[in-house]
This record gives sequence, structure tokens and C-alpha cells, in this order.
Amino acid sequence: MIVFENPFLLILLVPIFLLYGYILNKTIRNRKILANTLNYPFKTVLRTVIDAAKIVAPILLILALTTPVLIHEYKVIIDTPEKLVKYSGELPARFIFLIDVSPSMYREKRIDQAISACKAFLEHLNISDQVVIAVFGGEVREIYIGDREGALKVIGTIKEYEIKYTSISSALGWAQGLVRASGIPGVVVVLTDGANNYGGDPVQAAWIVNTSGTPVVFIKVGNDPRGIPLFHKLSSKGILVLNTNNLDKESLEMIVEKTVIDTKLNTLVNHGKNKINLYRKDYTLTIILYSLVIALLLFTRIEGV
Amino acid sequence: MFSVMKKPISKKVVAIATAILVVIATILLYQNLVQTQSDQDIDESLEKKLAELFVKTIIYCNKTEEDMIKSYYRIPHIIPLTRNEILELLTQYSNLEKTLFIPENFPFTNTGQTPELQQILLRAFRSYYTIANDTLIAYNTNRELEEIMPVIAKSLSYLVKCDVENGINEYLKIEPKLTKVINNLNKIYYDLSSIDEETLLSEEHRKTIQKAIDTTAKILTSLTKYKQIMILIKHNPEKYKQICLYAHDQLDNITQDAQQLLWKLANMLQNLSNLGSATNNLNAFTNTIINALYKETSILNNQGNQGSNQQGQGSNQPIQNTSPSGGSGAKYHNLTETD
Repeated sequence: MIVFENPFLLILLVPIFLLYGYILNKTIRNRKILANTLNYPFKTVLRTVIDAAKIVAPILLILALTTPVLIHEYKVIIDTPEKLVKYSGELPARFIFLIDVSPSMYREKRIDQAISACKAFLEHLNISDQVVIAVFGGEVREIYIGDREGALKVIGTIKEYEIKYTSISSALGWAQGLVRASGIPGVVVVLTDGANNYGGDPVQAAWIVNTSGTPVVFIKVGNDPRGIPLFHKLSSKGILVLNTNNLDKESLEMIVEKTVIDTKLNTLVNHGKNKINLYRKDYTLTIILYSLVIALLLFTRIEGV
Repeated sequence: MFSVMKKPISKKVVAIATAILVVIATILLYQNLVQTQSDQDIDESLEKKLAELFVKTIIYCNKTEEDMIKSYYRIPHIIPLTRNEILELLTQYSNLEKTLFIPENFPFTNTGQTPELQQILLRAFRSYYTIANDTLIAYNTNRELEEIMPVIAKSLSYLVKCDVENGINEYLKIEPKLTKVINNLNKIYYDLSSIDEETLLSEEHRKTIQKAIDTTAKILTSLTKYKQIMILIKHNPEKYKQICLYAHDQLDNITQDAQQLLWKLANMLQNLSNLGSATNNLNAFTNTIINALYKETSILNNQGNQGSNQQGQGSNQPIQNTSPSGGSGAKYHNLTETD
């Protein structure tokens, strides 16, 4: 495929043609007069070729200035973290944050810990990624959908919500529906103290979402002993459990960055959306045109000044 | 006539002599000026050269520290330095060491400055030379860290699945490299901690070195703890298997020996919350141990409570109560509490 980087320059061809038509007409007339006066044959093959070159050269120059580029298309399969980091902007994913706002989360500043962990996650997302923030207890409430920047602004407001009971399975079911409806590869991040006391089995629910190709990450906040069996069962089912307790800021950021890369790569691969089309520009045509212009101009000089 | 003839001769001689004197004086003055200028040039160029070298060393140290963090967490990155760049830096130090700090070559001695300055510069030189040497060790360690971290993660994931044999085998694959990494980190930590802060050029340099010390210490502590845990499991594979199966509800109880191992492991894991790129696997492993411990303490507490009911006295088990508040725990399909 050929595209012109400066197509508007093609408009210059119109005045060039008009000018050349005028000059050529005048030249032919003058030559005729000279030929009749001097009785000298001005019309030779060489002169015709030189005249043609004089007309073609500026036309080619205009074409060269429009910079015609050959576009070569090729596919890249994103299958390593290194490639993902390089092309992350081209591959959006949807990160769904499910934040537990049951009364137990307001003990020992667990909710603040959840907000900090959520912020760390958001800061490592790509600008092209979509963010959904929902709070849950016995029910789920969506509070934000949009980009990373907007999410960072609203994340502090989750403290305004408090919902009785904790049903992780309901929240996961809601998130699963959202991923299916959007068609965008998703990652579900659950921030909870693990004090589940309502609804279905959260381990089973997490396992179903995880095996459907949408990675589930649990972020453990606080040290509620009721969460011990839950987090153990999740871990043993191969579900990622991130413990934010006792982590300094730098360690948390590094672990979160690694988790974002790994889970995003997983979801893209699982949904078969880890291929991108890339384009390479080839300027050979422009170079050929400029070379031809130079060659033609040099050729026209053989008639002398 | 003689007197007439002598006068111009004497005048000529005086004129020539004066001219010669002026020329000699000019030459001497010029030489003196050139000499002074040259000494200043040497001193200034040396100071500049040393300052540039020291700053370069700190930049390299900073880059290597960043590389170490990214290698430890296995975050894709471009290695910010090449081995050759560090070797080139070390060659510069080596060349300067050979020529600069020999008293007869030391340029400041000609300027009448005290040997104290020489000592200050020498101490600074030694500090930065140590940092440069550690940069090379850190560079090599980073490459090995990148290799061992996935294997560490794998070994822990086997342990979570109660596959002790494979878990230990994975560990044995990297044991020599892990030991080497720990030794190297120990050396870096010791070297950097031994540097006299006063010998460093600026506050920024001191901060960079402190950051490098902190990073090294953090990684060193985590890897050492991981090694200790693996050695403990390597020597008690059956007991660990019991603990693991018990945590997975596949075993009703564990032997007293396994209980002792469980407490040891729990103690070792107490302050280990970060293991670079293997942190999530470490969390899964920790959850297994905590769950076994939770079950164990719940049983002991129940026994204690029963004993106190029967005998009218409380349990004297020295175990921290970790049972859920409210006593019901996480029961699904039930509305136990509103939180």
C-alpha cells in the first residue's frame, strides 16, 4: 500500500502545468521564428528529449515532496512480558476492582490499606486500559467505569460506602458478567480481608472465573483470622493472593507492577487478543523519485547554459 | 680621539647589556608564569578528573541498584549498564591508583598544600573505588538473580501442592547459585556499610549508597530466609508433607515432630513477606503454613476450653489465640455477622 505523507503538495502540480504550458508555447514560437530567421533546424530528437525532461523533472520533484511511502504490514504475537511492556498501549485490558466495604473493612484501617493497594495497581496500568471500580458487601455497586486517571480521582471516595455482609462470590459473579458483556480481556482484582459470610463459595466462584480465562487476583488486607482458610484455599487452587501486610511502599509497587504485567499477559493470551498489526514505512519510492529528479536536471544541462 | 671613540662603545655595550638583561628577565618571568600556570592546570585537571570519576561511580551504582530491583522482581527492563562499561571504570581507578597516590607524583605536594589533603583525597578515592568494585559484583549477581528467581517460585509452588520431592529438587538445582548470590550480596552489604560517609562528596552520594545498602539488605534477608526454610524442609520432607496435607484437610492430625516443624516454619515466615518475583508463591506457601497453624491452634484452644470446663481451670498452652472472633469462622450460605 502506498500513502503520501504530504498529499496536499499535489495541488502544486496545477500551477506547474499551467506555467509550463505557457513557457513551452512561448519557446516553441520563439524557436520557430529563430529557425526561420537563421535557417537552422531547432527541432531535433535530442532537443525534444531535453524538453520532455524539463517538464518531467519538476513533476517528479512535486511527487517526491509529497513523500510517497510504501506501508508493509506485519503481525506481532505478544507472548512474553518484555513484548507486553513494549506494546502494552496497543492492547487494552479491563481491570475490575472489587473492593470489600463491609463493616469489618473499617476496622484497623483495612479500608485505607485497600485504597493504597488499589492506587498502586492503578498507577501501573496503561493509559489505554479500562478500569471498573465496584464496592461490595452483601451486594455490588458499580461506582466508576473509565480510564486510569479518572479512577485515581474517585478511589478515595469508596470510604463513603458501607454495605452489610460480605459476599465475595456475588461480586465475582457480577464481574464475570461484566467481562463477558464487554468482550475486552479482563482481570478481576478483589480487595478484601477475607471475612466472607454471605452467598456462595468464594473459592469456587474465583476458580470458575479464573479458569474461564479471566485472571483473578485477591489482595489480602488486614489480618482477620476468618480469612485464613479462605486465602489458603484460594492459593492452593492456583489463584493469586497478594498479601499487602508488612510490605513497604517500594516492594508493594514492584510486586503490583509484576502482577499487572503477568495478569494482563494471561488474559490477553487466554482471550486470543495477544496479536497486534504493526506497520513499517518504506521510503524507497521517495528516494528513487529524488534521484530521478537530480538525474533529469543534470541531463537537461547538456544543452549548455 | 680615544675618548671620542670610547664613548659610543661604552654606550653600545650598555645598550646591548640592557637589552640582554631585559630579554633574560622577560624569559625568566615568562618561564615562571608558565610554570605557575602549568601547576594550576595539573591541579585543576586532576580535581576535575577525580570528581568526574566519583560522580560516574555513583551513577553506575544507582543504575546497578535499579537493575537489581528489577531483576529480583523479574520486571522486564533494559540492563542499564554493560559489563565492559564497569570494567572500563575500574581500569580508570586502577590506573589512577598506580600513578596518583605515590608521594613523588602527587601534584598537590608542589603547591605547598599539606599532606592532609592527600589523605582526604586518598580516603575518598578508596571509598569510591570500593563502590565501583561492588558495582561489578552487583552486575554479575543481578544476572544470577534473574536466573534463580523463577526456580525459587517453582520450588514454592511445588511445596504448596505438597509435592515435597519436586520442591526440594527445584531448590537443589539452584542451591549453589543461590549460595553464591547470598555471598555476593553479603559482600556488597558489608563493603557499602563499611564506607565512611564523610569521605563521600555530597549528600546525594550518601543517599544513593544508603539506598543501595537497603536494597541489598532486603534481598539478602529474604533469600537467606528462603534458603533456611528450604534446608529445614530438605531435612524433614516427611514432616512437611504431613503439615501440607493437614493444611489441605487431607490429614486429620499431625505428629508432635511435625508440630515442632510447623512452629519453626511459622516463626521463620513471620517477617518474610517479600520474595521478589516469587512473592505470590511465597504467599501461597505462607497461607498453607498459617492454615495448618490455625487449625492446630483451634484444636488446642478447643482442648484447652474443654479442659477448663472440666477441671475449672484455663488452658496453659503458650499459644496465641488466632481463632475467629465470634467463633463461627467463615461459613458459607449463612448469615453469621453483618461484616
